[in-house]
Amino acid sequence: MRKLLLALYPFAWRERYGEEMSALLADSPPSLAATLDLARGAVRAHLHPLAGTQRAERARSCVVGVLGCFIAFCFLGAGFAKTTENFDYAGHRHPVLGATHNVVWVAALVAGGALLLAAAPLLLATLAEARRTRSVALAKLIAIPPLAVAALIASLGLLVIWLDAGHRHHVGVVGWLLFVLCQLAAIGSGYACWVSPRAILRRVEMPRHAYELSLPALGVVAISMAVITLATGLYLICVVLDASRLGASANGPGQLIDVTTSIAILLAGMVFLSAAALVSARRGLLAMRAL
Amino acid sequence: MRSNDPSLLVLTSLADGAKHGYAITQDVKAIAGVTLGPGTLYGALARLEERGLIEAVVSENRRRPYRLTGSGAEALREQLTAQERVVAVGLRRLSSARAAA
Repeated sequence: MRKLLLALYPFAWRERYGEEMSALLADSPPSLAATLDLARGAVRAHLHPLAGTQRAERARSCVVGVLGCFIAFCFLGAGFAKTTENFDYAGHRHPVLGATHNVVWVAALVAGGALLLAAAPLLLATLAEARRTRSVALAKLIAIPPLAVAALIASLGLLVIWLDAGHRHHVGVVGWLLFVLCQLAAIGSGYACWVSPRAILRRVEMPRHAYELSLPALGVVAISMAVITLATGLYLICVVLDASRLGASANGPGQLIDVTTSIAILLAGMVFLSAAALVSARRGLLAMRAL
Repeated sequence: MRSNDPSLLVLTSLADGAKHGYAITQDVKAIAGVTLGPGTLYGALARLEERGLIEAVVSENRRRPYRLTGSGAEALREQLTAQERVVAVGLRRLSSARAAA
């Protein structure tokens, strides 16, 4: 557990003190107080990066941080889309409900576009480096995210084909297996899309102009996430105040919770992730000024 | 710095020579009765190192020792002298109050 908490410290911190802290943990008897102290130290280390940390390292941390938040946010966004997929009628009847739903979709498109814009210069620099060094490992790292996303799309495609083949009302064992496969593929592709760029950024020294394009675009991603969060909050208020019957309808896995609770849980996650993305983006932009 | 400030405790611990992380926690526990957690200890070590008050000693071992720098010793002396003055005044006033009562 304590070794895992060490992984929460910033990369630069682990590079400098990781070995020593591991040795200290090996010497000390485990205790709850020490574990909590380690967790608190990790938060403080993120809030106050080491002064000696290279600006480029801070820019890298920003990319990895915002990307990680965005990927996790996508899962919550998918949950929101799934929860509200049949609410068109309510959206037409209630202007604010409809408008907030539209804002969520527009901001999601802006965030997706900004993310592609942020990724483009970094990807081009990585491709140039891979070609220059003829590094097979780098080429594999570049190939992992598109392959993971392709696997996710393929598994979703299989599920849709199965459902369209007359199994919508009786999903069956195969349908459930495909559903589990889709869930695993989603988690796996999300993880791959985060880990692979992180490994690339540690290997490749990105040129300054790549960060100059990438970091502001990541700022737009973080702002879009905050807009989606605000719109989801407004949507939840509308559901509670004006669509209580809709809000009380069963929702979630196994229909165990209602729509209101479902959106509230998603909103709590969105608030945390958009705040973390905004903090990370701000630090990246500050680091860029000094690059 | 307060008397139980982790940075002051670490500086005090290093006043008699270089120590690694575990030795510092044991020493601080012995001299002040304070248990420094790993996050707090390395937070203090990082701050002190950034300010040039301590420095890491080259070591082959994973347990890297730290020692006071010249300015670290000077900063520690200033802090302890300032606290000593407060302690002396406090004790003197307590004695006067007791005598008056």
